[in-house]
Amino acid sequence: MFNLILKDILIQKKTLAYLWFYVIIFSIAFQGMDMDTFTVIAVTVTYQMVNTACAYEDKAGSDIMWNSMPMNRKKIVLSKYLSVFIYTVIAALAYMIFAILINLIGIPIKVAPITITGLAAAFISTILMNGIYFPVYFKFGYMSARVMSTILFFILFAGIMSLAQMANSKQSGALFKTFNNASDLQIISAMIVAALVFMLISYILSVKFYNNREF
Amino acid sequence: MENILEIKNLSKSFKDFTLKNISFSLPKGFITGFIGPNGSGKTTTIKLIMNLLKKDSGEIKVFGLDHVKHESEVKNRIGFVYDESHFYEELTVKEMKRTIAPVYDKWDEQQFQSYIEKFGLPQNKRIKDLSRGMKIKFSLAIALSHNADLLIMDEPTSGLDPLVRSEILDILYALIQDENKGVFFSTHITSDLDRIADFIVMINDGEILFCTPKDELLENHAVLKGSLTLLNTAGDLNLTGIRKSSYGFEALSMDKNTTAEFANAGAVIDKPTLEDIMLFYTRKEHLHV
Repeated sequence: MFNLILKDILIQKKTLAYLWFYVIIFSIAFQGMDMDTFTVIAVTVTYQMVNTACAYEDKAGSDIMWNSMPMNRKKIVLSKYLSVFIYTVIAALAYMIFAILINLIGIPIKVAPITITGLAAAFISTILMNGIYFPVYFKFGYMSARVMSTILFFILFAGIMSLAQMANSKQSGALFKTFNNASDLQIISAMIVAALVFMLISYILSVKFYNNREF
Repeated sequence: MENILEIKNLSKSFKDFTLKNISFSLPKGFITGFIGPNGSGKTTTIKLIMNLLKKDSGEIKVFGLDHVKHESEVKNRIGFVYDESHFYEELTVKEMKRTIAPVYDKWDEQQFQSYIEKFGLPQNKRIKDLSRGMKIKFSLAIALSHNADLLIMDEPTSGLDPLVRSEILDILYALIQDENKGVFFSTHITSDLDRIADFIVMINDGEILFCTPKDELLENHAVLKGSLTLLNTAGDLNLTGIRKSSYGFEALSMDKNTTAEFANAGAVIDKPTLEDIMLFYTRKEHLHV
């Protein structure tokens, strides 16, 4: 299964070059804004990499190849879900390398550090986005899922920014008051658990859909 | 004779095509050609064997095992070459192999390297820079490098030049010297099968027309040509694919008695090729006088 994840990264050598582009552009674009830049970068990079990997699968018609081999369909699905975490880690590494380089060179760009909240928000957002995307992809294929993923991305992108602003301004209603009363760790833990449960349901659905697919 | 593949009453319906209760089997140690015109059901049958399509009814046994219940075990012992490679164009030959090798329990790296060398495949070249012939050879190298007992090929030689086709046929011929292996080779280039096939399965419009040893098939059939009068006065004869013109008729005799009758009556008798047999069988007009 790890060969499938490695393959998804190998076929995206060009996309990995764009990774730096996203890190630099977003770091500059979000200068002075009261939000976690890393979360936005992670969501963008993950969205881009998941989509590109699926586009290459579609272009090659590789489902026919993998399903002609002794490859369990569950593993094919699982590899796509696990790759989401790998992409998030790749985004985090790229962001950290960029921050170190900026510090070393002394360019006057403020690169906000990756906070626990930012990292958790990144994982939760990518889980949410791909948890909806993958069942559609495994049921209908790349072309049908593409339109939906673009819409999802922009909704999520706008959602992260509004949520960050609302949470930080503390002007919101009961929900945020409750959140503000609870400890950060409690909130983060609860949200991560909810996201993982959501991902598990999404995975079960994807396996069901993919097992019924014909090629 | 032990069968390597057995298909019984296999059916699959689509909106515009139906595979109708087909049955045939492949004996171990032989090359079986699977012929039929485009759209006759060759690829559908192969996809059903590989469980890429779900059957509506029927039974498929590979190595005596149900192809779904023992899917992993069965697929570990099958090598496949399709008309398209389905490799990732962005990867090099080496990277693609590295991705595929761990999937098979009995991957033989030494064997793979020997085929790579034999085929002259550049390991660091990207798949998209390979010619069609090279891609097929790469598919074949993968298919032959995990000790497969059954090689399933779907139109592998279409679009290839005669030299590459000949090379591939030589490899199949060498492979089949091991009596425990079998090759199932779908094609509409029947001249390839004239050269190497032992058995022929013919499919047309979703139905199996015959599954016969090639030599027997060629021996029992004959192409007949003669006057229309000869055709009209013919007795109890078994002909197919009759084509009439103002000059006379042309048809395929389906048994030796029919051929002898027409020969005695003065018809011209020609030995058929597999292509002749396929063409005459797929023409609509049949005659059982």
